[in-house]
Amino acid sequence: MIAFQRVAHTFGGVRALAGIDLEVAEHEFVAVIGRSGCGKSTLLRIAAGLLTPSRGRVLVAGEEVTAPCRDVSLMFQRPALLPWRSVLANVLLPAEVLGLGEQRSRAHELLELVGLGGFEERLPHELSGGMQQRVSLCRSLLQDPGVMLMDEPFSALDAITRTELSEELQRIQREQPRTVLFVTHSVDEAVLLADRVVVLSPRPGRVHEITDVPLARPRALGRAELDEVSRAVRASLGEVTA
Amino acid sequence: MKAVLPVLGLLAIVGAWWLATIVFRVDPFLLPSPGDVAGSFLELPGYLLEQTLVTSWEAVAGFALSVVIGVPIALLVVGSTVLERMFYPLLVALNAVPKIAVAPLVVVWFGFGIGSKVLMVVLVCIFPIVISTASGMRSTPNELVELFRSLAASRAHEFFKLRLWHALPQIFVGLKVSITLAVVGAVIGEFVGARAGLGYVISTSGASADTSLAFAAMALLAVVSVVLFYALVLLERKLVPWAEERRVV
Ligand SMILES: Nc1ncnc2c1ncn2[C@@H]1O[C@H](COP(=O)(O)OP(=O)(O)O)[C@@H](O)[C@H]1O
Ligand SMILES: [Mg+2]
Repeated sequence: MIAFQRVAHTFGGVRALAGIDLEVAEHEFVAVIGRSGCGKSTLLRIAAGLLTPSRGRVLVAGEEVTAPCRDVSLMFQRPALLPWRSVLANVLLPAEVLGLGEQRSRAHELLELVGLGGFEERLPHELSGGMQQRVSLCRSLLQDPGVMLMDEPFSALDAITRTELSEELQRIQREQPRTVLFVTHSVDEAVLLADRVVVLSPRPGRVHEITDVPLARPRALGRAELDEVSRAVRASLGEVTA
Repeated sequence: MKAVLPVLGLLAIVGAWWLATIVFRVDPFLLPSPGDVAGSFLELPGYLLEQTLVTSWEAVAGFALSVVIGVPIALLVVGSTVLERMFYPLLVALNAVPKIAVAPLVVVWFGFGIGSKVLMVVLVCIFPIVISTASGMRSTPNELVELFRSLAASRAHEFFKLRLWHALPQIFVGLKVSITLAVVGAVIGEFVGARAGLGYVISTSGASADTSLAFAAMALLAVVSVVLFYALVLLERKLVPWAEERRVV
């Protein structure tokens, strides 16, 4: 579904990515982990069509990415909500901009799904950080994307909210699987959510090691099998950060 | 209750002024007492209110025109680097010209009627509006811009659904600066050549040595400025309720 082919990127003189080769299968959930500054956000922005790589190319559904498209959604570390719009109007933004027609009832469903039923008319600043990020998740889902790119979507949240949201994400993913590329700082989160965990080496980023997570779902944090995989990923991370 | 303190402040100043005119026996030609000023107003209340309306109308019309012209200019400047390079320096240079120096020319071109006053108002008002709108639109967080880009948003969407909205709180800063300047602009225009308006009253009262009439006109100008300013503040509260809580990006 997503194929990075020798993707390299240089900002001015700074080499951010050095030759990334990575394939993400349809409905596969791949977590990307690595030191800050190793080019994870750059990788996602290239996949989203916001940035043209200096070298190499990215294919989504077999087609080279040259511009943003409807089938790919991007979610950020911060909720990135429009403060002047109500929760509902924020969720409906993709429908307006992409011209998807009437999506109100779907927006209501999505908000219901993440436990925000009844908050439709609130303004973002009236919501907690976790609720705001849920709104942002609904906004991504409204677009009904085949591919979701998520850039540390939970890392600004407190531990409890974070766990809740990753459980919700698992549930949503089970109900309707999508292809997800998920950047995170947390090994546990990566192992909990992903089919495979990609460890990037520090700048310039390249694929250091890929660890499979061959565990049945639903998964819950703190299980022994998860810890085993987490240890493997930590070891791999240790190699690159040492 | 919030009105109590400003009113007390006003009363204190007026009281001190009154006291000073009595204690130092100031010649009313130099500094009339508040009583003299009120007397002047009560002699010609209808006339003065009419002049107040003239000046207010000039200020409001010029201000509205500045918004109508200034916001699109800001959109163009932010939207096109070429236009920005071509015209922004010119705009800055234009703004550096003291408006009072242009006033006689404006009157020569547009006559003694309301047109020249409105133009003067536009000249003083437009710059703060263009600047605040443009800088507000430019300061849109990169994340939000990327969000729009990732949705394949058109330039029109990016401007009208994002940048302009994001700029609103800053636009209001510019509007509040402009609205007080608007009254000043109208008065400058009236000083130079007019047949009506509070500025006209002030300049003619100078010729007839009627200082208390000039003071009455000034007091009315102050009232007009305050009323217009707070009308904008109210509008801002209604239009940008989220801006008071800027925790969210
Ligand atoms: N727009 C940019 N201009 C210049 N350098 C950038 C830009 N964006 C990112 N970089 C640099 O590229 C490197 C990778 O950045 P990023 O992809 O944001 O890393 P990560 O998300 O892994 O923390 C960093 O060194 C960063 O400073
Ligand atoms: Mg990043």
